[in-house]
This record gives sequence, structure tokens and C-alpha cells, in this order.
Amino acid sequence: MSNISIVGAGAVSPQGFDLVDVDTSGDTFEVAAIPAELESGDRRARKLMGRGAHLASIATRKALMGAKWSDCDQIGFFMGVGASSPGIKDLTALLRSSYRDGALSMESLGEKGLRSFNPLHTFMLLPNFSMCHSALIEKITGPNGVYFSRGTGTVVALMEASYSVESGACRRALCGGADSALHPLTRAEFRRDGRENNGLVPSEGAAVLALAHSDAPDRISVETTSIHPGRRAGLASAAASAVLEISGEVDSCFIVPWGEVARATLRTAVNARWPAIEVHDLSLVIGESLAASPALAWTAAVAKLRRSPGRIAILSAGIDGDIGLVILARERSR
Amino acid sequence: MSVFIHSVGTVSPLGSTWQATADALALGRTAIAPIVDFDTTGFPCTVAASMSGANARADRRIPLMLQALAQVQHSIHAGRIGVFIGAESGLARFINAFELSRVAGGDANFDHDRFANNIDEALLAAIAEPRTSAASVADSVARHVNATGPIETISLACASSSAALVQASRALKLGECDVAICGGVGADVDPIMLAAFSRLGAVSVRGQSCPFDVRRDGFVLGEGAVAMVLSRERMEPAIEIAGTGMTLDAHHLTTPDSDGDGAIRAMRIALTEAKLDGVDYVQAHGTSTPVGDMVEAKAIRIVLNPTTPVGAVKGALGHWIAGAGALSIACAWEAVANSRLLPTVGLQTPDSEYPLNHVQHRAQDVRARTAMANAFGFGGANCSVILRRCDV
Repeated sequence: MSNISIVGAGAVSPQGFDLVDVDTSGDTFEVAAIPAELESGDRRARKLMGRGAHLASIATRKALMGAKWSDCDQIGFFMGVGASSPGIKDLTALLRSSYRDGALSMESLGEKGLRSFNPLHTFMLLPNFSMCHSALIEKITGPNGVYFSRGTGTVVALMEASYSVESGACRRALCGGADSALHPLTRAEFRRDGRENNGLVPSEGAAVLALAHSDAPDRISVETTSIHPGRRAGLASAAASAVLEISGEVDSCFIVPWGEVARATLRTAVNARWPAIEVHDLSLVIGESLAASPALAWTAAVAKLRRSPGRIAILSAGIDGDIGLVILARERSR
Repeated sequence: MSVFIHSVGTVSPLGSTWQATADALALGRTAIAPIVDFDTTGFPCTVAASMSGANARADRRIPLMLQALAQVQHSIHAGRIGVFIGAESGLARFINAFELSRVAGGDANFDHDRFANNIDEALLAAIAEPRTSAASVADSVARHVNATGPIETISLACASSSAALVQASRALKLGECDVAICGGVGADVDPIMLAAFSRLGAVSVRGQSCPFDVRRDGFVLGEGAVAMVLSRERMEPAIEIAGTGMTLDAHHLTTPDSDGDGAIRAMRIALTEAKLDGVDYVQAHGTSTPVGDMVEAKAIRIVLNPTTPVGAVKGALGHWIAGAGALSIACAWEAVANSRLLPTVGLQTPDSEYPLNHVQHRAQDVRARTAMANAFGFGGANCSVILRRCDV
């Protein structure tokens, strides 16, 4: 078994501020107001954060606490992130100041709109800030990567984090995903593409794993991380390929489908191999949060493995059309 | 196991190929000029290195990248193709704001409620393709070449496309693909992006990009795209990715640590991997910002021999943000592949605080076996890449 192990985990989801419980269904897909005691960074730092960055900072802090890592120097940090933008009200303020004689005026944008643009919001324009805010707060300085993710970018983050520890580029690494599908522009994109009509339930969240080598007998190992392309071959082919890669038996499967077609495809592939296996559908519990979805599912698997040893396969099917496969395992006591 | 760069394709305001761009850079030409595609009245900085005919209402990232790709496709041989592109998302681009504003009716009283409630109507009516996603560039490249390997979009601000090359190199070494297309694109000469950087105080009010110059006061935006083909196969000229280093500053969101710790570590990690003590040329990140250039000059002097020739392309082509790293790597490639050290255009009076051996005004025709390209991004991500010519 790989000794790249999960030594800490943190999650923020509509379910709350603990690791996702797959057995608890939910009817809300927005993260609740964040308790002050969970916030990291000071108020000024939080003002500079977009939604994804804010959620990531909380999940990162929880993962670090879980791993008992107080010194973050040289820790690797790899995140799947989504599109980033100031809130819609900030854009409307810019536009409101840029109107002249009933039309959008570039001259007005320069003269007045510019002044209404809060410079703090520049820090929300670049997706990498979803990772960098956390790095700044926690003083994380090691190898790093930020992958734009509509699903598999987050799996890449886990692959890179594992590789970085395995190769010795760093001894410890954090990885995960953070995103919000609730931004009006993102939701409009979904509506345009018909995704909400196909079962996508927009949500938000963040989850971070802390990885390191471990020989502890009850460790939770990252056994497998892979991506199965579906954009050309089709989702069914990718799902079948992912299930085929799973050697031996698993105790349960977690699926993270973005919508109905992905759900049906993943269930078909899993049930074709294991007709009676326990399948947990994370999207039904916490909705679809794009870059955060796979990572939230991994932390849900961690929560389950902490309760009882076993082997869990997590299959994610994001709107990018590829399938991510992660297998986490905790050995049973001999 | 080694990974080699087989070909470089570029589209820039100085030329529609890398050859044309490099020839212009070598002569000390600049592409920085007044912005004509939108009214810049009231903007602190009114110049940029824009792609000609650029339209503030169009997303130029994909067309630019495909133009660069067309120049290197001949290098793509059979096998699994991976695509690794440095790019940023476009939620707050002007094109989106413009389309959204139409929904508000455009009357004298801006109807906030109508605007907020009808966003989807605007997008459905106006935007035919998914342009807000940063992944759309990599996706377009992948479709164009029928890629069956990994398709990744790396978003690390100014270090994005350098990190994309690091990612591509790793994927090749691990056998995840047989050929990799990597690169980056910058298309941020956009009213909202210019407004954002202006409000940060990051752009040049003087309207000049002059890296390492004592008069420097900020960067100038630029646009263009770079595409490179990488593989494990050695071809002539054999330009190897000899070493890479990536670190985080964890100091400030936009300002580097004045000690240069993050930059120093990134360069040293790359040198260690390459088993080198120094390089024959540095293509600096060189943004023409007061603190950024100072920190980089200090770091270069600490890590390398102070006589190492240094060039910085942003003096001529501006700052491509997500595409900046790939452009720097292209300049480093020019040094080792064609023995041409490209200059820092715009540099008249080098800052003497941390003196460097600048390549000024014109290129130097010097045989270089190794070259380093630096990219230090907003948010504190640092990436150094070292190229080595193996047949010298």
C-alpha cells in the first residue's frame, strides 16, 4: 500500500464545517454564515478574498489543525480552483458609474467608473488567489500549483501533491479544491448550457487534505489517483475505464456526478462490476460545487474510513467531461 | 529522463511568428503604443502592447493561442498528446460587463434590479460560446489536435505558463503523454482588467515599460500567445528542460518579499536539479515595477554570477500576465537554440542599487549553453526554468 497518507483534512460545505457525512441528506446548497472562531486571517485579509478563497482558507486551516502542522514552511500546496470575480454588486457599481446619456460610455468608465472600482477587488480577479490567500495566512512556501478545475483539475491537484511528496520535492503537502457555483455569472453560464435542466444543482464549498509519508498502522492511504478522459471517448467509456482500473474489491463507492447523465453513467459503470455495492452520491447531499466537488467527496471518504477501515473508490464526473478516480484505503487490523 | 523543447510558436504585436518576434526584439523594437481599441480617457495608463485590431468586446485568448499552435503543429508526432496551458478566467472581463449592461436597459436610471435579475437573458442572447472559463483555451487546443492525454489549465497569475511547462515536463517523464503542447496566452488589454491593475497602482503612469531602469514606475500590459511542443525524444537542436523550481513567497498578495527569499529558492532549486552553478543568460521576469525588479535583481546577484547577461522582454512586449512565463521561456530558448541573447528594450539608465549585466538596446550574438527564465506571479508564486543545449 502507498505510504502517501492523509494525515489531516478540512472541509466547508452546505452541510457545515466538518467533513461531509454521506448519510446526512441536505436541502440547502449554500454554506451557512461562518462562525467567527473558524475564520483564518484578519478582517482586512478576508475583505480581499473572493468566495472560493474565503472557503479555501477555512478548509486549509482545518486541515493544518487536523495534521497538527504549526510550521508550514516548505509545505507543498496544490489546489483546484474555479473562475474568480468580485461580487455582482461590485460590477454593477462600476457599470452604474459608466453610463452616460443612456448608454455605456467608455469615457465615463475611465473617468468615473474607475473610481468606483474598489482596488481591493482586483485581488478577486485572478483564480490563483483562491490558493494564495491561504498560503499567505498560513505562511506556506513550498512547491505549488493551481489548476483551473471543472472537475478533473482538482484531481490533478491531488496527483501533483502526491507526486511532490513521493519525489521528495517536499515532505508534506496540502491539496484540495475550492469553488462556488452560486455566482450569478456562473449560474447564467449553466442556464445557457442547459446544465440546470440536466440536474446540476449549484452549490459551493472547499476541502483540503494534508498529505505526508506515514507508516502508522491505521493510516489512510492515497492508493490511486487517475484521470480518465471522456471528452472525446465519451463519458461511458471513461467511466468504464475508471472502474476497470480498480483492482480488487472496494467496500463502497462514492460518486460525484455533476448532473443526471453523469449520475446514470457512473452508476451503470459501478453496478456493472459490483451490482450490490453501496454507492453514495455526494451530489445529492451537497450539490455541485465544481472545483470543490471531488475534494469534498475525498474528505467524506476520509470521514467514513476514520469510522471503520476499508477501501473506498471515489469517482468524480465534472462538467469538463472527464472522470477522476481516487482510491483511499485504511487497512483493517490484523 | 530528459524532456526537450522541439519548437516554439509565437504571435505577438511584433510579429506573427517567433522568428519575426525575435528578430524585432533583437533590433530593440518595442510594441508599446497608445491603446486605440477603446477610449482610455481617465485611465492612469493609456498605452499597451496590444495585438492589432484587438476588440475589447471579443475574447482574443483562443484565436491567439491557435495562431501560435499552428506554427508548431508540424512538431507533433503520433502518440498521446497532452495539453498544458497557462490561462486565467474571464468572469470580470469587459465583454461580460458590456453584455450584461445591455440588459439593464441603458436608460438614464441604471436599473440595478433589472440588471441583477436578467443576467442569464443577456448571456443567452449575446454569448454563443463559453468564454468565461479559463479552461476554454486548453480545451480548444485539445480539440484542434485531437489530444487524448491530459488537458490542464494552470492558473498561477504571472507564473501560469511557466508552471504549465513544468507540468508538461512532469507528465512526459511519468509517461502520462508522449507529446505535450504547452504555453500561455495574455489578452488583458481590456477596460476592466486595465482598470483593476490601475487601481492597484501596478501599471506605469509614465506609460513606459523599462525593466530595471531607475525611472521604472510600473508595468505595461501586453498581449500575445506562445505555444511549445515538448517530448522525451531528442531532436536537433536538443534543447533540454534541465531544471525547474517552484516556490511560494507567502509574503504579500502583490508585492514580493524584499529579501527575495521565494525567488532565490526557486532559482536555486532549478539550478540544483540541473546540476549547475550558474547559467549563461537570464530572461528575467522584469516587470518594470519598483519593488519587483529590485527584488529580482537582488536575487539574481545572490544566486548567480553578477556578470551573467540579463534580458527582460517586457520592455518591448509588455506584461502578458498568464502568458508571461511562456514568453520568457521562448526568449531563453532563443538564447540556447540560436545563440542570441535578447535585450531589455526601454532600459536606458540601469538602477545601480543591484547592478546586473544587462543586455541593452540590441541582442548579443553569444553562444549560450544554458539559460534561465524567471516568472514571479501575483499572489507570490515563483517559477524558474533552466534550458540547456545538449549538443554543444
